[in-house]
Amino acid sequence: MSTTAPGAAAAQDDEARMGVRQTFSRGFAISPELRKGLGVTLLLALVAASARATIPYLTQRVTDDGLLAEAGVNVNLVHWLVAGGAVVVVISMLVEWRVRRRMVIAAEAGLATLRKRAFHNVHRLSVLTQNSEQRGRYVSRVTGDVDTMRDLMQWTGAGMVVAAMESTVVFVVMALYSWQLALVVVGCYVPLLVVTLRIQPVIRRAFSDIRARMADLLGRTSEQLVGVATIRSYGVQERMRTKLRDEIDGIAQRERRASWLASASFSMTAFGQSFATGAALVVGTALGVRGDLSVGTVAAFALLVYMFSGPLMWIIEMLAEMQRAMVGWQRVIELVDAPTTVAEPTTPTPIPDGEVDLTVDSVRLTYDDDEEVLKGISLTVPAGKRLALVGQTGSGKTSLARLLSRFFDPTSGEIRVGGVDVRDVSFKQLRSRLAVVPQEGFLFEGSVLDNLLYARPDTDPDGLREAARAAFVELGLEPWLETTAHGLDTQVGARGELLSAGERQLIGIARAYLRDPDVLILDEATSAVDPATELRISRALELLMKGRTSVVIAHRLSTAERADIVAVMDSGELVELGPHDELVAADGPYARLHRAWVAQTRD
Amino acid sequence: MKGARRAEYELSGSYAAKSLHVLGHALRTSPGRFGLSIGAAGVFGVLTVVFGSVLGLIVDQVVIPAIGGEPIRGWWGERTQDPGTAVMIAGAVFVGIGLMNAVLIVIRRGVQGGAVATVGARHRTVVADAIAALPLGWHRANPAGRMLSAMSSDSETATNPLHPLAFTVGSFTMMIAAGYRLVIMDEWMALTAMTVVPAILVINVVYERVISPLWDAGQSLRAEVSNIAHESFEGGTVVKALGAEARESSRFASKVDGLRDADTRVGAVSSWFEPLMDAMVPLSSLAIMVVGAHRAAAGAVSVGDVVTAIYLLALMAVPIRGVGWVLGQMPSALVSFQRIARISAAATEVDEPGHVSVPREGAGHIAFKSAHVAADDGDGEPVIIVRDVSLELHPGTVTALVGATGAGKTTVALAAARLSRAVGGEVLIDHTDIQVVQALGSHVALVPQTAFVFAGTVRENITLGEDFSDDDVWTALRRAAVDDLVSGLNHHGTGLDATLEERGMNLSGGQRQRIAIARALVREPRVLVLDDATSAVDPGVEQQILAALRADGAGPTVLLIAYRLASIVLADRVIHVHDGTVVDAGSHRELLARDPGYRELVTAYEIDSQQRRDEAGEVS
Repeated sequence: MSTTAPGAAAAQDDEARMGVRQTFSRGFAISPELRKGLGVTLLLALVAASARATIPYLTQRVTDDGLLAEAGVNVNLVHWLVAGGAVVVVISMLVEWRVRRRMVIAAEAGLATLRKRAFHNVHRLSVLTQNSEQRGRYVSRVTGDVDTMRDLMQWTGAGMVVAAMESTVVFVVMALYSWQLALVVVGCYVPLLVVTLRIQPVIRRAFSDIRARMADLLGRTSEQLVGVATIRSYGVQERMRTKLRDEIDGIAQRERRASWLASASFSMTAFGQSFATGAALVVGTALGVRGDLSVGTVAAFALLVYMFSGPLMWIIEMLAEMQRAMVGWQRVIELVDAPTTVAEPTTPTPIPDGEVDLTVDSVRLTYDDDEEVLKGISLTVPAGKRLALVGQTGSGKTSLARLLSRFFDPTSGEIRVGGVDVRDVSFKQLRSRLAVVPQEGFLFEGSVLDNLLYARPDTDPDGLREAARAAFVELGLEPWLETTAHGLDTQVGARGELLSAGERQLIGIARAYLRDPDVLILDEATSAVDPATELRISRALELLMKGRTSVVIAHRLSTAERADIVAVMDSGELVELGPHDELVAADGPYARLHRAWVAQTRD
Repeated sequence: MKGARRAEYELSGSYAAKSLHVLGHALRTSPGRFGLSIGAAGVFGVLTVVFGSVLGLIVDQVVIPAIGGEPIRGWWGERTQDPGTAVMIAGAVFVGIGLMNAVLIVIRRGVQGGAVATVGARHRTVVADAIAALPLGWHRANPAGRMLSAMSSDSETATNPLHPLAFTVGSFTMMIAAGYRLVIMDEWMALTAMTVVPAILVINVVYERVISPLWDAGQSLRAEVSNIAHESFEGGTVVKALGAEARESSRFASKVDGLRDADTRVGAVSSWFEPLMDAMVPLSSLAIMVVGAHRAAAGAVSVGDVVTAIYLLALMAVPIRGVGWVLGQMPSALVSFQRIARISAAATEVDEPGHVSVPREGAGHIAFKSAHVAADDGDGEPVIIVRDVSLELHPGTVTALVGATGAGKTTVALAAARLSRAVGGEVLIDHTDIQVVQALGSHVALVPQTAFVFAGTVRENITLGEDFSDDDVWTALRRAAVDDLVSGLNHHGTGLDATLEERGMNLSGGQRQRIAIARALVREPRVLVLDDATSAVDPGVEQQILAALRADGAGPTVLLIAYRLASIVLADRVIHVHDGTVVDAGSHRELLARDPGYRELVTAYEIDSQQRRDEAGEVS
């Protein structure tokens, strides 16, 4: 909702966001592929890590026993040791290759599932939610946000576990040499780790803010893509660019800040390494002077601290990356888990077969906390009859039509189809018995036939082609279809933009006709198009509505005239209801509207 | 500036040349930050060597004597002979080095991150700047997803090799020093150590060859996934209306599966690349051990030399490993960089092509003289849409452009606003070639069918940031018959300060169009081009708006593309276009009388009403 203060919104969001453990458990539940075979993968990773850990040992053996052998350099032993080392290195390489491959396959499968689940849920959200949040954000969640987690899933995540294992192994070795020194080393790291971990939430918030702003930027960009002609026509290119540049600079500025935070956190561990080495030397020497430690042990600790801190530094480094990934993951999980306000009933009631009536019973509607849009509407459309909704823009007729099609639910009151509350009807049945021809003749990229497939997804291509052709004939649209380049195979382009608005509507009508519903909701399906197409549309609509219970938002006199009942809406209230002739005779609001229409059309 | 930008993003030559270009571009974009960061990395590298030496010194000169009860030696011995104090000093030196290291790391990484952010912002800015400079045809030919992914994932991916850049470049001094020491130590060991360089290069070249096409395929699938999501969410209402959620999900799923497979193929390749690179240093260390053992046995080098060589090899490998990271990210970065480059290269439209000033007096005069108008998709030759069009819009008159869909009406309208170009003949405003007119936006205002409404206040939406008084804005809103709506708005503010949501989602289609008309009117254009700009407006309101344009007599010259008969008859003159050419021009009545095609087109309503009356007659 709040496009004005994205930063604040992001910060608020973050408070409500789940923790790391919750994210993992929910994330794994959504994408079980991530967990599948993870045990084996980690085991293999441990093998690879252990193999790597033998290399320093080998170096030490070569130096001590091979090069510094008492009888001169033992070339033969060096050969053997090196050959053994080479085998270990190659094995570790091959195992690591398998590990990574397993991770890649699991990660990609898991991410694909996550994308699908998120996408699926977007369509389950009510039209209201879909509109109020910028759509570009949804796109960025199923694309960019998922992509930010790829590295975490593919390697970083497992790598961190392995690195932690490496550090643990080294710690055990240290403890075996000298538990006092081991404690000193860990003691040096603990405060630094605490500080580092403290910084993590700050870093996460910073990344979360960046992602939110990125989504804003994409929203702004897609707006401007729509407005290119206007922007150029008014010569405001620079102004519009400045808007985007401001957003871009804002993002860069926050990225810089996040980078300082992350590097501060990383440098802590680098400092920890020197600090711990220094401390180990001081304490080790003190212990050595007391005779508790040998020189070799003290010297070995320098190497051990280095081996202990290496993986630790890498983990800390990856923590920052992980924060980024976690934020992305959480954002997608949130979308998967976003509550759908228009819920499918648990025990659906079927709509009775045959012609059904449509009842609106004391329906009230309030969007968010704004003004009441519908203030108690009650009316009935008898089975097979046609109701025309008339009224000024903003009178509430579009909202009412959307409630009828259950795009969202009323704040109070009921809508019944054949006596059944629409909230008790399964979506599948509701959509098959009740068809909506929406305001925008939105088509999907592909052919005309591809778009008709939406009406009858289960039909085979040949059957559909036949049914489609029959539908065009029955709706009197065959002559039009013949004027198109390739008939049913004509490409409609993105959003159907290769066709005119009127042609898009024709396909929308054919689509509804193919569904063969019992109830029809037509939302402003008759905006201006060229007269020939207009004529085709009105004819096809007549044929479509024949014998079906219909509600049509009327902008045209002729549409209202031909309806059985006219409902006049004004500021969310039903002010007049009755047949056209009666209302004209009553000389009320409808009669005034009618006179104005007549005056225009008889020009 | 335009030419410079194109050079900035133009990639040519071999793979190596292109890679260098991407790195060079980054260094030029943020030279100060990269410089500082590289410097810090260089000092850090030196400190790494110092750290190793100091550790050895402390063990030899302090720890061993202290434990063995011998006198403290070296620099420490000059300061104190008390083992406790000496070891404390040594510890303090360590902590000091650690602190310096920490500071250098903060500088290197912090500044480095800033530099990468700057380069990323540069990529995004180039994409942002291109939006309004790409020909309209380009936008029609390319889905929105392409620009969006250029803005997001491409801009990020293109900067990926830069993250290890400063560290890598900075640590080259370390490598050079280490290599130099190796060479003077023993040529055979040096030679062995050096083999690691070509080996790593070969692996990288092979990797690049294999992964580039895979990555490219993955990126185009990524764009397709983005496209489907975009299209499907945009048509969310329709999807819901048709109950097509499941179908949309499966459509999306099949593309996502494709992307998954492509990404898995990419991942499969990098899953051998990384371990192979990781194995190179241990393997060459082993080789050094063998060679070193032989050389030591032959007495050519000391045992200490061999140990040092192993250590030096590890240091040499640091920058090489860094190069590996940079190179490993390079194939994907190049693909993304090129995607941005292509957008930048296609952005050929100049903001202000004109230089001739035309006086802003009275309504404007527009003339097309045998004009061939083309649509340009920015990627190839412009395609001619309308041919040999001659027409004239007289000052202060309303002209309706009538024709069936696809007749070329919009192309003509765009040409009148200089948004499509005459490739032959001329388009003139006030007898001046429209191409050379300065600040054409102050003369001609175009209102397209799809209204541009953005997230922001009503005021911003109307003024587009230009200086108009609130009175002017309200007047324009009134003339566009949308003032009532705006007075009633209450969304994060009221009236002109009320916020419109992204793409004006909180308005109806007709309301959005009226906002767009108000935006044109506030500019008091001399020529107003309405390209089906009232299609979603109630007919009564449309009439009111059009009538008001003519009423005060001082109105602009209007070119109107409309379908409603009532609007067409409001025009002083009608031009009938068909198949990209002008068929006839004259008053509505004249055309009705002499142009059968026109008659057929506009009298559809009347025929319809007539037929209905007949049908009704038959029934009753």
